[in-house]
Amino acid sequence: MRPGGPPERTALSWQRSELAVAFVAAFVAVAALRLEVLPIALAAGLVAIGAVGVAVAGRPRGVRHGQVDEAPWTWLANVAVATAVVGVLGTTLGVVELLRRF
Amino acid sequence: MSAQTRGSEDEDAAADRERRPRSVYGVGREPDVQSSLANQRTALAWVRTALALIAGGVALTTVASSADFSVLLDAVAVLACLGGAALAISSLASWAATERALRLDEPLPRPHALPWLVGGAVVVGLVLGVNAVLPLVQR
Repeated sequence: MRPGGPPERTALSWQRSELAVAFVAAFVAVAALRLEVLPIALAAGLVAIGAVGVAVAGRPRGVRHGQVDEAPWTWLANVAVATAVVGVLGTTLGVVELLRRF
Repeated sequence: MSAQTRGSEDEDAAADRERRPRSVYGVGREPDVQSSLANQRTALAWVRTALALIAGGVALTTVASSADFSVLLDAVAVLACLGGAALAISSLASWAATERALRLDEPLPRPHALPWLVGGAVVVGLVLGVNAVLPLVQR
């Protein structure tokens, strides 16, 4: 395999995804603050801080010790579950806003 | 076979047994590394699509709350966020199914989420479009 090709692309894809989780979680936190739903703002803020920490401080995913990381399940599950949590927080925020209308 | 080679194979086998999930790594043989990495990138692309749905939903909630928009916007926002959460979880199942197929040298499974995503986007686009145009027509 060409060194620096697909593994590097995969590592960048991981970083992009983790930063995207952080960005969207921060967006949910700001929206919840604006709409004065503090528990959701707090929870989303924690997810955002955690995702930034993992993206910045964690080792590159996709490669491990210069070799291809052959067991990505744990990290993939973490990213997917964090995304689902952000989705549930966004859903709750939407439902709260919907209920306020009635 | 030398003792060194046998030791290395034992280590490989032990490392293989530690890999999770067993439903994926317990079957077949090691696929081409590039295909496996491409499968990871595809799963991550689905996760980012889910995040885009969630961000869109939250943006709609914010917009709907700042002006007296239809309740329909709030409902679409809730659906988008729920869809995003479901898509993120389905990306895991999709990664596992594809990795299994690669290991067993079987045809790759079709992307189950894609028709739902496209159908949902079309329906939401049409509903929001009609909702925007209808008041103009009624004037």
